[in-house]
Amino acid sequence: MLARESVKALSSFVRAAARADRVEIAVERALPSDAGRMHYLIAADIAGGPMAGRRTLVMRGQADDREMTLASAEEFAIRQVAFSAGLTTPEPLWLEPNGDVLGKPFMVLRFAGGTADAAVLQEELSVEEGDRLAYRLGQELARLHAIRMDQALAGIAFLPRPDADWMQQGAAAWRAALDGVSVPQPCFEWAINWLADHAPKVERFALCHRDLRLGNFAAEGERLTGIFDLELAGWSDPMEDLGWLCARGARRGLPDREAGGIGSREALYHGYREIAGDEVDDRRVRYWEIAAAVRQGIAALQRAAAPAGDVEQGLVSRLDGLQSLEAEYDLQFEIEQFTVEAV
Amino acid sequence: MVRSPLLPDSPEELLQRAIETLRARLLPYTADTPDHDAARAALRALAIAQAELASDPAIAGRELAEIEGLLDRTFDGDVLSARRALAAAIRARSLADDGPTQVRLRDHLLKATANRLRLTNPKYMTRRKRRAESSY
Repeated sequence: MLARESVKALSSFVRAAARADRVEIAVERALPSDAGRMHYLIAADIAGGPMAGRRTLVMRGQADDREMTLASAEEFAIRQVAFSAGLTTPEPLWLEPNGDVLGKPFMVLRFAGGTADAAVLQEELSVEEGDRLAYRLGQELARLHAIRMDQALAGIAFLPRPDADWMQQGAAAWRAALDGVSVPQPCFEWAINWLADHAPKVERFALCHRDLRLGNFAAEGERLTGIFDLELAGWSDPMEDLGWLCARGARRGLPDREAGGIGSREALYHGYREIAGDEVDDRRVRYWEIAAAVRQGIAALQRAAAPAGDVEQGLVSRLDGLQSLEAEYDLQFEIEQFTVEAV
Repeated sequence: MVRSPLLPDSPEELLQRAIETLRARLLPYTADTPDHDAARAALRALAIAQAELASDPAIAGRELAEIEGLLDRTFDGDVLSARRALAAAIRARSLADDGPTQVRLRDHLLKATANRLRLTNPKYMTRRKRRAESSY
């Protein structure tokens, strides 16, 4: 939990940012965290100013691992753009970009409510409720994808723009990641070649979440309360987000619920079409499901290869790495299916 | 190798007894505690070790022979080196691009994955509603 001095510093920051007379903050609990990130649910009693009242907020710090994730300032900018576009995501309130207050940059968001617990959501949602939530997720992705790269939004101009050989660059990045794990991976090498050879032609790049799955959104029953974790967001083929959500590795214990282990693929596509107006390109979605298996498999191998803090963590990481075999198995069948459908 | 057993049970039987005991006597008491995930992970690791001990030792040899056939060279029994060479050849796209070679490669990759998955998560292939691929 946050030290007393940090809570005091955070209170002062919120008081200034909220233009309040007085602020008292209590840390209610730690939220799920990755890469050394501070992540807390906080209750703020705010006296005076436009935010006066008792507010439930989230303090989200910058990740230590900056190789894969955005800096707080960049993530905050993306959240602002997405929130303004109508995405159901916690409102980004304030940014501390320099680390002057708590030693690391952080942002403050409104708390969305609901639960992001994958096991709870999968257990509680009936088939019909799951379909309605999948439909909502489709609508949300369409709203996010309405932010097109050609709109040249100044606030997120820092995002790298894909060029003509963007998938070759993606393949090179995957190969570099494989070079970082000690065990040779013929299957992933073969799949990366396949992905590079079958890269889709993308006419309109859009802002994509690139990690929307169970655990990265919250709901109360079938009601979506918030989409989180935009730190991997970037310009891509809009179908990538649908493929990532539908990938078999994202379905956890309910593989028959093809939209993220939540609802049906049809419900997801239906929601997407309703907002986007475009047809969903199912074949491109399937391509991205194969890419998702490669991403998930390589990520599992990296977790297994990472130095462990203790014996128990080392064992868990090693077992986690075995998920790469499930990804290998999935992608081989999906490439076969993709090829058969093309004939 | 001549073995001199310490106990009447084989190592495989000892492992099975240890797994059964831990599952029956330890796991229920860790439910709803922070130790539950660790206990489950330890049991899973034991189950994988058990599956490896029980697996057909000839599988690695057959995998090696397939890779040697694909690459047209030998590796003196070193499966890891063979896998590394196959991965490098795939990345370099130096395998023949003809239909038969590519079909052999795909068959090999699927068998290699299935043989490992059978040890680590045998239910996975069943859940995918696919029959397990023919073994080496």
